Amino acid sequence: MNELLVGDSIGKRFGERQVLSSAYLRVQPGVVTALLGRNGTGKSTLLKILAGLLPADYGLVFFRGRRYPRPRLHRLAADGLFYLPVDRGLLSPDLSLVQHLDALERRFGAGDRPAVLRLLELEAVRHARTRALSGGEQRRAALALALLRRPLCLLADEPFHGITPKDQEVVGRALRALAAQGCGVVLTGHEIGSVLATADDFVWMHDGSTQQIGTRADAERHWRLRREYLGTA
Amino acid sequence: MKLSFLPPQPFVSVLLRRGALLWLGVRALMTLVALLGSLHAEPPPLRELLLLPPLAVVPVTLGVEWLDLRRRNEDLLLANLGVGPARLLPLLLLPPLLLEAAVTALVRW
Repeated sequence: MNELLVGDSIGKRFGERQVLSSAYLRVQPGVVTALLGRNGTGKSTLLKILAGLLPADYGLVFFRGRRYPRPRLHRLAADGLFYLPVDRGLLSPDLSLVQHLDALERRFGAGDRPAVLRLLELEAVRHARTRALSGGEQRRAALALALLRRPLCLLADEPFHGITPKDQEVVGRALRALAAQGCGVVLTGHEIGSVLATADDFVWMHDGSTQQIGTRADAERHWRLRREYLGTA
Repeated sequence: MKLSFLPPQPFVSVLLRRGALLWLGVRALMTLVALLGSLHAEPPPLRELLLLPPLAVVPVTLGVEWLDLRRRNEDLLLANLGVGPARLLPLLLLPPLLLEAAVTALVRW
């Protein structure tokens, strides 16, 4: 199978707490994979490890078939990975979105900027400093960088967090558009409607480990997801 | 794809300009601390105040520049652009080093 990014047997401990014990995740081109699980099950930690922002205690990370013994975001990003954080912003507050996009195009070449701005409904605010943007606009602006970059793999930590249902729809559409271009997308999130509508493949995280669920229909039938996450079974 | 050694514009000019401003701030603060430290004694001559040890000013400025970069999320943004700390270090070091060298040369002259 053609795998873009693989995290194999990843383990991570914070002090006394074993957050990840044997997590496994594979990202395939053109597929949106959703990591589901209750708070504190290690979803964000796994994404940070795969993005090279946190060192794993053990485990292997492969990107485009190459093993990264010490993954670092800037190295992975140069090879085609993009990381969208949830606990920090991605935009420099004193620069405009246009300046961000200019920098990105100088680095990685020109993209279809008008189409990206149109898709994310950002034309009207593109010249404003990003500190003046609303939370939803900032989230969409960060995603605009990812779309213009056309990465091979996007790791999006809670891309629907704290934004309106309308913005969630726009973000979901943009993530689907990236996947349609062949990008492998991984997302996390508790906005279950948007997550189910956006992802093709679902992974359940529990006790620091991962369990492959399968398709959207499988996710909706998954008893653990229903009982421990949705509380409906 | 163009992957040059330096970060893309506008980050080069922004980092250099900000580095110069932060150096000025750090130097002003350290001069103030030196002045306050000698309140009950004979105030040190201006020349002595201007000749703060560069080995203290440059690392402190570098630390403040790095914290400011993180505060503005630019470390993460630049990492997503493929620019790591090793490429940023020369840009962060350049303003305090050059300005400190210029002040030292001027005062000694």
